[in-house]
Amino acid sequence: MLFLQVMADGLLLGGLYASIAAGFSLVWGVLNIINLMHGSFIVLGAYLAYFANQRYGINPFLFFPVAGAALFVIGFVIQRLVLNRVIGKTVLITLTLTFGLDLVLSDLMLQAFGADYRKLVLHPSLGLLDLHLVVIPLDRLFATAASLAATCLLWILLRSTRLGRAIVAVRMDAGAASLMGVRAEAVYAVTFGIAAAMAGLSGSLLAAIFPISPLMSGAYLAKSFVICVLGGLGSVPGVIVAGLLLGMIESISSIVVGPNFSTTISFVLLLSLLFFRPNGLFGRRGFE
Amino acid sequence: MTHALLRLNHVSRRFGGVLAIQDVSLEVQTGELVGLIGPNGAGKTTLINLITGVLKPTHGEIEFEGSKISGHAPHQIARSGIARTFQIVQPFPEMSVIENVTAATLFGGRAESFELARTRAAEALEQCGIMDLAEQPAAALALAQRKRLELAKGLALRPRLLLLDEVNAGLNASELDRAIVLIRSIAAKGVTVILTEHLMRLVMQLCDRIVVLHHGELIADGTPDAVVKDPHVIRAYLGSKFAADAGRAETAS
Amino acid sequence: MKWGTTAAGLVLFFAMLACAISGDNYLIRMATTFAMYSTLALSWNLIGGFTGYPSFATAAFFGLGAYASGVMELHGFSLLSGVVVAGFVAGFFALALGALVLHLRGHYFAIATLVVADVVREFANNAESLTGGGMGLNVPLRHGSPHSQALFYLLAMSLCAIVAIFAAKGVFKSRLGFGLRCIAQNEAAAASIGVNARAYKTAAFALSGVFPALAGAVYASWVTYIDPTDVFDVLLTIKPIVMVLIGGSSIWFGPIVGAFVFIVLEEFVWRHLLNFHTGSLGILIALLIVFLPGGLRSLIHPHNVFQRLRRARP
Repeated sequence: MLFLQVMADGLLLGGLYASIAAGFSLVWGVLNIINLMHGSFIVLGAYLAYFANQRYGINPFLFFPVAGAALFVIGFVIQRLVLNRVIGKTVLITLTLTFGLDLVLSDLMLQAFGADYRKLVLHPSLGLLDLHLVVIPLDRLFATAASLAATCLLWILLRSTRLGRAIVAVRMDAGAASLMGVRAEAVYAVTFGIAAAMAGLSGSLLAAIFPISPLMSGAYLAKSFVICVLGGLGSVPGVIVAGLLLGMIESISSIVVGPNFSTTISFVLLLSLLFFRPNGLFGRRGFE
Repeated sequence: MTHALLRLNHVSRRFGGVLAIQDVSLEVQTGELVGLIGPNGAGKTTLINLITGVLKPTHGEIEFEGSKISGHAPHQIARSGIARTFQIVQPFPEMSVIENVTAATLFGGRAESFELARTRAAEALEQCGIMDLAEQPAAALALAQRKRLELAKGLALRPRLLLLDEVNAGLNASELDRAIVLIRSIAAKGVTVILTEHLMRLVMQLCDRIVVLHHGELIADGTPDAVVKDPHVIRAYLGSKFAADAGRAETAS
Repeated sequence: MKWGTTAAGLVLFFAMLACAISGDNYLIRMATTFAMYSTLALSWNLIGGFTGYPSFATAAFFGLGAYASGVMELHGFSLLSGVVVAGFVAGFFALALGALVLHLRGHYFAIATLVVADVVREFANNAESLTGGGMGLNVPLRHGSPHSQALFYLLAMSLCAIVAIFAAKGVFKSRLGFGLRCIAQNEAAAASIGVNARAYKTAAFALSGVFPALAGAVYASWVTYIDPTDVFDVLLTIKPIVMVLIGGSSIWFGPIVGAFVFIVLEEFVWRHLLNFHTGSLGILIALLIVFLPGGLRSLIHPHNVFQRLRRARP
């Protein structure tokens, strides 16, 4: 049945989107910075997985934590050295700065990897899961499962660990948190690192399924925006639900108007949301 | 029969599941100095926000000088003769004190030119006793001075009704005395004043009439003496035990 | 201060004149670019600087103007009518967009305007019958030698800049400008003292859209071939913002100073780092933002910069 297949495709896609947006939401919610490098972090994670597979034959489903770790370091360093200087500054300043940094990162990747699309091919191919009513490609299933697992892990981290509580405290009130002994600076750096890690591991998982190129960073950034506004800032469950929702919407629209319009449709959705419900479906009011 | 200056007709305001203001009906006549009191969270600021157009009533209507104002935008209401101060003072921090007030005389006060606006602003500053601070940036002022600036901006609108939201919070004893004198002088010039206040002694000293809000409902409305003895008011502030005691005391006398 | 600005203005005028009579087409082109970015930066400052609403829609207006005028010229109309139409199209678009997004603040407003630019670009990409889609639009060539054409466009773009200057200066000194400053510093307080924030914001936003469209219209004629990625390029939004950050947003001529500094710096980047141009631009932007957060005024008091860097650790 086409309908069920479209739904299944949408859910699979949406689950993948959850980890893509989770890090973005974290940075926006905690540091009050919209990180325009986010898409490029994802793409970088994808390339790391691609080359690990090409050169060393490492399976991306095993490699993605490594990509996460690598991006954690990169994100941590960028925050410590550069972004820390603009914490608390105006939207203009932070947005333009991350834009500038993204220009650098994108150009570096373009120089290093070229603009051509590369496809990571799994040997042996994982095949399909035929459930009669729907057909599920196993690579997608694994990618989505890994993505959701990582996102849930993030949620557990935020709720149950000391670090997580510190992050949430800083998000709610950095001043009060520091009075309680939380070092806001350290929290910002770790948070940004975690967000970059999420982006990196998502990128690795994406590399298993989709072709990759530096030109894709914009599209992933766009999806992260939409998911955050849909799901509300600072809410991991919101990000998951919004991601699934976006996946479904894209899956349906892909059938109705073709795949080329997916970004445009997400943008129109975003604009409608901003007009009617800027706080999304779930989130507490994030920072502006 | 002349209109009441301000009339609230069964005004309610809901936020999601919470009814912040419940069916409040109230009339204020020209020249009154009304105290609006109630425990924290009673809805005093919400009521002021409803009158000044920052919020729209979910039910009911608000009339000023006979015409409906509920549903109008804040700037329209400011230009119609109602001014308010904010509980947490809201100056324009990067502008000087006199620029702050000039903005009020120019826009809300409808001055015809910059020069006229500035002259009228100076008058308002004089009235509030902060003319000497005219060229200072608003952000540099101490709290008591900021409160006066807030007041000056309100006066600059040449209001017939002035709503003061906790304008005296955070002032020390001598600043409070000066504030009382200032508010009295404003009222003496014919401005109707509604002020919300935590400090009972202030309200008792200044106001001829007190209105009490509790959980968004109007629970008392009368002279200071009557209100202070009202069991509903006592229960709201101090709990049922004291209310029962007061009730018994009343019956005994 | 008045003598300073008049003097600076004269210096600028003579510098532009010098470029014009130099006979060097390259210098003329740079001067034209400077006039273009001055226009963009000055008009952005109306909504971004004066009003404090960080608009990322500049490229949308520029592109709209470029296409409106380009299409007009393609159908035989003059550049002048193209420019006029461009202004109106962008003005109406800004009014409509403003009604949709001006209730948003901060990040949400920024994203909304950024996204709109993208949607408009997609629309231009797909409306092939009107705009030529991804294959672009060929705008009719003017008659005359390359040199006379170059001079013509320098003049045309400078006129756009002059109009933008009048607008910026006019707003700055007017009741509107005062009201916008109030809105920028405390919107709730502004409303409570009688400022019609919605009307004023809309006016500022509409103005901020008209002048980039005029520049876009002239640009389309100047380069004779436009396509969506070119005229809706997000850099057309970002560069003017950086220019205003450099030159200062609180005075009406700050953006011009910023435009001048940025273009000179970028020229240096172009000449020496051609391969890594985009990346170097990114580094330039990042350096400017980190080291000159207060704009050029920080340079006048250099010790502040170091204080600020040390204090930057929260």
